[in-house]
Amino acid sequence: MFKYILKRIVAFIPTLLIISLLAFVISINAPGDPVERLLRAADSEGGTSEQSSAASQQRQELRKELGLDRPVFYLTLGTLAQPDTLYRIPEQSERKALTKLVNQSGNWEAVSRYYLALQKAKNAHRGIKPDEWLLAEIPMDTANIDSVAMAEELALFAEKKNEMQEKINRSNISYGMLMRTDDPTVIQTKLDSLQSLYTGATYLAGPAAAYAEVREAYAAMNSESTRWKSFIPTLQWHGYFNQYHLWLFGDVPFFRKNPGNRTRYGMIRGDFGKSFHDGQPIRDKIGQRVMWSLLLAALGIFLAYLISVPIGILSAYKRNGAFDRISSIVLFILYSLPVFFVGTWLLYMFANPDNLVWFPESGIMDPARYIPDEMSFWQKVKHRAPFFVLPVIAYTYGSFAFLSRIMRVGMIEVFGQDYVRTARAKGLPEKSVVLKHALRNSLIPIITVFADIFPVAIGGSIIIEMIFSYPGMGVMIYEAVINQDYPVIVSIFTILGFFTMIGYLVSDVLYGIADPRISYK
Amino acid sequence: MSLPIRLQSALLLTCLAGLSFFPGCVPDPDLGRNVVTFHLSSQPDGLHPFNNNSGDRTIIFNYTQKPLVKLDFGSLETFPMLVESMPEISEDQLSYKYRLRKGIKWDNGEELTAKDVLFTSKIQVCPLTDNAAVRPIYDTVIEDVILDPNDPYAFTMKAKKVYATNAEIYGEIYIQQQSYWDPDGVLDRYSFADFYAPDFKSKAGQDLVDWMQKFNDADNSYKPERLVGLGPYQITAWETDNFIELTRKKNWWGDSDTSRYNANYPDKIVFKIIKDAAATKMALKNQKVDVGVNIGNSSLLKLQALDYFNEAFDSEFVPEYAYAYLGLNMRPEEVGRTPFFADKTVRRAMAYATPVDEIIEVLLYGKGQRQTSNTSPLVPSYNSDLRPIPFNLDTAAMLLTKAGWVDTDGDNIRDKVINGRKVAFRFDMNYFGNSTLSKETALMMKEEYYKVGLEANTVPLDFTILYKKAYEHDFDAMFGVWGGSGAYSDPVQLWHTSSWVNKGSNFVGFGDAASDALIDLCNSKVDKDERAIVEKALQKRIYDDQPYVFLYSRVRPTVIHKRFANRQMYSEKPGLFTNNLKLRPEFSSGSSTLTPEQL
Repeated sequence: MFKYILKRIVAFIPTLLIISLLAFVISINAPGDPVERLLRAADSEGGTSEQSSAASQQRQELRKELGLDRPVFYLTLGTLAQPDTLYRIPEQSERKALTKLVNQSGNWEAVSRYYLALQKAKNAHRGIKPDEWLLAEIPMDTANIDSVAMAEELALFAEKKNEMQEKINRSNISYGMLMRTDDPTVIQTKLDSLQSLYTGATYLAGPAAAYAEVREAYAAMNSESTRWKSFIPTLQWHGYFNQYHLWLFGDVPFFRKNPGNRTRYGMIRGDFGKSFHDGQPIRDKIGQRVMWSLLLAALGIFLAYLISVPIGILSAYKRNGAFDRISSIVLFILYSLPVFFVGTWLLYMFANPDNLVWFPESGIMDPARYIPDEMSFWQKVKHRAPFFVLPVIAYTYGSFAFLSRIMRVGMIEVFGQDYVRTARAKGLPEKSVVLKHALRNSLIPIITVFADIFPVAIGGSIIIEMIFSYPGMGVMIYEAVINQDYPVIVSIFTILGFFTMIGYLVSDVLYGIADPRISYK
Repeated sequence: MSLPIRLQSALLLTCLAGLSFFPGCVPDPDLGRNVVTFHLSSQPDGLHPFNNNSGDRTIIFNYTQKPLVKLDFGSLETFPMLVESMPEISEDQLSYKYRLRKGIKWDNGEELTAKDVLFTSKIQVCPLTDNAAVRPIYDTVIEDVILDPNDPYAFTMKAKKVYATNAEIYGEIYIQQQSYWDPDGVLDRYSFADFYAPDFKSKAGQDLVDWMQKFNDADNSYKPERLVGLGPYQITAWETDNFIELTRKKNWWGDSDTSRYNANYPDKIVFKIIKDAAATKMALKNQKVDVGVNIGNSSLLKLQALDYFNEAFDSEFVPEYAYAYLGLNMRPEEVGRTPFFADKTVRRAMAYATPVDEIIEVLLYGKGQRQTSNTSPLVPSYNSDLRPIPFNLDTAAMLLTKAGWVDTDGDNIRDKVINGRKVAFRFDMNYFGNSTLSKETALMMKEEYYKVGLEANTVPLDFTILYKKAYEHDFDAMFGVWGGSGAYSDPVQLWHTSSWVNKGSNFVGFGDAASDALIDLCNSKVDKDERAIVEKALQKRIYDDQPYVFLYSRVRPTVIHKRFANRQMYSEKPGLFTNNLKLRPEFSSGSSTLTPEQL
């Protein structure tokens, strides 16, 4: 048995790596960008961050801080056409467009020239000051400020300035669009519209020259196409500088002295990194909540088995009798009621002065009465116990039907076995026949269900936690998904995977204990 | 079999015993305690003085931290908090001279000096501080902070440019104690010029890097003993997702000050976190919460129908600055979409075709106010000449016809030839998929638009996706809500053309050189009366252009227990100050540490 357990534990490692990698890939490909989300969260209203000339730098800084400036994994499956440096493009939409252009063209150098030409053209508009240009072009009779001619000149000035600014803006936005698209029709339309913008606009001579380079680079990209390269797959090796390695192993050296500002120890050393959302170490976030989820699960499991197993036994023993039928109906009605309904109903029934106020409505303690420094362990238990009643009921009721039916089915099968008939024929008390001989052999399905409890216990129940403001893992997972908090999501996936495997291992061991015929030698 | 019967009997007795025990599980609320319980619907993302940003953090910082100046919620004027007066501004409007009040002490008894302000300002702009999301608000303003060599309380802030709110920049910087955080004076070795150097990060000394690592540590966001400040309260407990407890400091420097922002009547303030609306209602009914500002309109209306609730609580719907809108994409050709709303006449028609009053009456239960432009009627710079556009389908139809949208094929949907192609007026209207209010509003509007020959395809989207499309300008029409404040709100983010070009929050593509010039002029006016004139002109311009169908400004359902006197509610978030709440003598149990006179 020990060898078997050891073999299973060794098998955990590759499974966990695959699970974590899958979680990584899925979370990275989710829509949205956590950097953009963090930046927008700071701009509730009227902030100037987007207008700062360092806005792009700010994004790069954040990206670097969060480790998002690295490739996702050690290697990437690409094509001969694709460079291994595309991940360095900070804007997600631009990166996607470039990838598609490379696939279409097959010539990264040409695509790169085109992209750089676009950047240069976009930047060529900086420094164009319509006011200064117009003042030089439109003579103003400033000696006669109140004259009608002056008023007309001012109106003309305003109109021209408007026209200039409009062209500059449209030009800028067109380049922005060009950098985010790979559609040849859109590109051609944009290039043509830019041409018409620049025609006759002498103040845009600089951008017009840059535009000519864009046009040239685009033409070259199409004429120098080596599309065949896009059909030859390659593996691009990024080495240890990737997000997954950082997450798994960290950047603090294992055996050498830490060169300075490195802080990540990696999941393998128990460091899950920091939350993108609030910067808190994920280990701390999980640590603050997991024990409450486990406690809720433990109480729920205990209650579920305490109630379901006897009901299942009795239902099987008195099969098709009144108890069997009534209990089946009641339990299936309970099973069909959704958790959010039952949870809210429990609040309205038992925490409502309009009905009964038997239990608290939220939380796990009353801040007005909970003084941890002055309370003994049992006083704390007594204080907290009422807070768990309603959440445990909401957590547990749905499993009564399921567990009791499994127990019932198992018992019915066992009751039909010869050895049970023999036991009765030998004159053994009925209690001994049922509880000693039949029960043990009908536990196999129950043990199978038990394996699934572990990940569920860790994962928590978001609905129950929301309704009762219970500080468990469920709400944390939900908030991580909403906030695109990749490190938290990946860490929890990995932990859930680990506990699923633990659950299966435990159930395998319990099989061996429950049924001596099962051997792992 | 006899066992099951015995087992059943045992279970029954256990249940009966339990049932008799349960009614005693919830003790009556102790209304005599001088403790205010304030409901929060979510936990702050941390309470670091620099590195966290949530609105809940600001609520708590009102009691634990102090800035140099502060917006007064009543008058909406900025007033001096830690300084003797508002700054002396130089003629070129680039130097702001402050002098700190004397006698302000840190928790260890040391006095607040200008060195603490210098230290705080440096952290705010240092590229190594973990505040990349908000740093540009400050590093675009603060050029330098210069101490007065002859006066330890005086300093001058040098601004990088003339900007409307330079004098208020210290309104949200919470001053920190240098000797507590940086006893070795690491930051003294670096100047603002060092921080602003492009290659600073690569040249930063190891001493600063090490110090910053400790300063940015998450423990400084969560551990109560590290959450120190100049405010009258200290955080003494933080139970994750449960509550945060603040306790009044003993011998606080401002104990004799009973003004609105420095009063400290409650012994404790407990921020109780309850996420669920139903649980919040129960908590209010059970009087487990004294103050609530996060319950919904319908929840409060239902509570107000209960006599026992009204006997225990005062409640009001306080107008807010936040407003809802339907954004209309004015420049869709840039993203390859049909230019339904590029024409101002069509946008105006949309405003006439939107039943805003009915939406407020039916969906908000009458608790809302028409919004006419980008500024709340609650602020002094609001342009009161602007009238809400009335709901009038005939006028809407006339305007649409004038804009060339006519039903030529008899299918009740208007159409028009655009670039040689007949286009039917069928547009996408994006709304928040997980908001019932958003959905019902969309459906009400869809119904009215159809009556004037417009077909709105309502598209429910997740919050993240909706805003992603907004930033990409990839929409026809979209719902949105903007927060707000009584303080001056820089219009660049929402209304400048650069914000559209740079994929900022000008989703709809409003503006041109003239409106940009108005915005730049607004931001250059330090004098608020002069600025107000320009703000009103900008509001008029926005009103005329109708880039949004402005819907309504919201109200904040606010609840305060009657056991507290001195209740004042404001439109500015969070809506009230709990430090001002005085326990009424008839409720007092005598456990308070305040004297009877103070109570």
